[in-house]
Amino acid sequence: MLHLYLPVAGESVNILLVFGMGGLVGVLSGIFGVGGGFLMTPLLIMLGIPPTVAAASDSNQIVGASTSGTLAHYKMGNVDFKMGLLLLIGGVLGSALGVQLIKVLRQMGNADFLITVTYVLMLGFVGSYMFIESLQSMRQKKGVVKEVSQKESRYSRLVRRLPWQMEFEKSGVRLSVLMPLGLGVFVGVLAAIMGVGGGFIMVPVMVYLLRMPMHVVVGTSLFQILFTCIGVTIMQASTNHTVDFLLAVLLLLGSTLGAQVGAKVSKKLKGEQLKILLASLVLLVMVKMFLDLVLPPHLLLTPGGGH
Amino acid sequence: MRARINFLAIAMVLALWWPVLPAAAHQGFKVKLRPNLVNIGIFFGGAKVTLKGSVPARSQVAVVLEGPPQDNHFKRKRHVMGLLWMNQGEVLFRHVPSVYLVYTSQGVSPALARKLGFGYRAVRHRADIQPKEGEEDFLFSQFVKLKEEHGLYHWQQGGVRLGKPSQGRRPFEVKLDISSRMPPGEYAVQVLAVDQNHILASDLEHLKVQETGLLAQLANLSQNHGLLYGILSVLVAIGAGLLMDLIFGTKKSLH
Repeated sequence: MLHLYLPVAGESVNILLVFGMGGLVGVLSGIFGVGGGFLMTPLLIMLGIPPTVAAASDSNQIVGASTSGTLAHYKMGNVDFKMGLLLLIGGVLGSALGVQLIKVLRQMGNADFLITVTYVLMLGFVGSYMFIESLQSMRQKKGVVKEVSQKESRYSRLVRRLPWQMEFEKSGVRLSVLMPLGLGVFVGVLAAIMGVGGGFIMVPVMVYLLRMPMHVVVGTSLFQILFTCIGVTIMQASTNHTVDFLLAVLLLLGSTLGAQVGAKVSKKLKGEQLKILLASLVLLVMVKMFLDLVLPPHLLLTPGGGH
Repeated sequence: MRARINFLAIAMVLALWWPVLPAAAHQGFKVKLRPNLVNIGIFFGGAKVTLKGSVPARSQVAVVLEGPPQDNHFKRKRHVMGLLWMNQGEVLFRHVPSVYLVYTSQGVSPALARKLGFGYRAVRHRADIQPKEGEEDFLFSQFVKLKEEHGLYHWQQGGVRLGKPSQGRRPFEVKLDISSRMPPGEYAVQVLAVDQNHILASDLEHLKVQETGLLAQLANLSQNHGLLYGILSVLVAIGAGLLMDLIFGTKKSLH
């Protein structure tokens, strides 16, 4: 077996295995516009990489995968830069807020419990909602009468009343600037609490709350993730020294290739199909995390702590 | 600084062993560790080193490879509300060796090792486990399991192969597994010739594990020039993304 020694993680990994993992997550990233952190980081931890190194090195590889993915989607006309930029500004503010919140939670002592429960609940809520909604719209297209709920129209009225309305040509929507900014803050806070890029929350937010078409959502989300992960990588490398460059490069080789394949697959799938697939994936991760919570662990000690 | 720590570690190991060693410990004891330097390069996936030697004909052999003592922090999982397994609280293991590999010939049981002052029980005896809530022994067994899974702790009875005695001497050979997780540094390899009650003779060898070439430079850059390392990592990632797009990407469509 061909091994690669990771100087920051302090151990060696099987080259083909990590390359394959990068490729698989890259395909998913290209299809759904998610960074894939919520999949890759647990996979790396399962390989024995320390959690902090896994998360930081994954951010580094997402920079490469989302560069490739954003470009591929940009060429297909699927990136709304105006919307992406506003979400990004909100996201940065939200992350800063989330980091402070985590500090307070840690001082209170139950941070880990709250983080994990938030994670499972968010994944469960987002996954179930997307799954049910996509299933309904697929049925509607087959001839079932469309029902417009009272709740939806109330939401639309509220959105129309907000000040500083702006035209987002690429997404084909007219919205208040406050919407992407505010939702960016919301996702930023959650992402910082859960320690993830937030793609799997951002995508449903864009689809259901910003009413953007699914294909533009994917490209715009990747654009936003690119900048988030550049910031995270530099911050982690300079303050915690947890970025393993060799691990990131190996994952990158797989994921950038995968992202290109993913972007092409994404073009062939319909919006509802994309949504239902992403929903299934999110639910799968949620079930895995839930089982980890309720089944007795193999060992009662996990490396870390000492903060 | 690291060399000083390693020297201190070896001195500590020697000091711990000193009371159990007989006065003529090194007499008539021949051992050779080959190689005694393990270089970690980019494609390093672990290594094996061979220790060969000869001992008095009627003795058994034990080999103990030990890393410098360190403090290990862990999170402790507990069953919360009788429903969820969560990390709650921390456990600190102080004065435990970073690496502890024990290989013995068939005749050295864990009980004998305990009597002669080496093995996991000896490590437990030296360790200071906090907090002290009455479950230190259980936590230590969990600690050993975790270290064994990482290849950093190991116990193998029968790992030392003894040859046929001739002219009052007996040859032996053991292959030590050097896990890729073993941190770079200097390790003490203690070789003991024992009978059922005593340590008859002993010798100390040293094994050095070090990162080399590009790997050593990367480790240095990451630890001492974090910001530059981070910026370079991002630039390489963006470059790889652009390159992949250039190779596999589609041309811009007109919409």
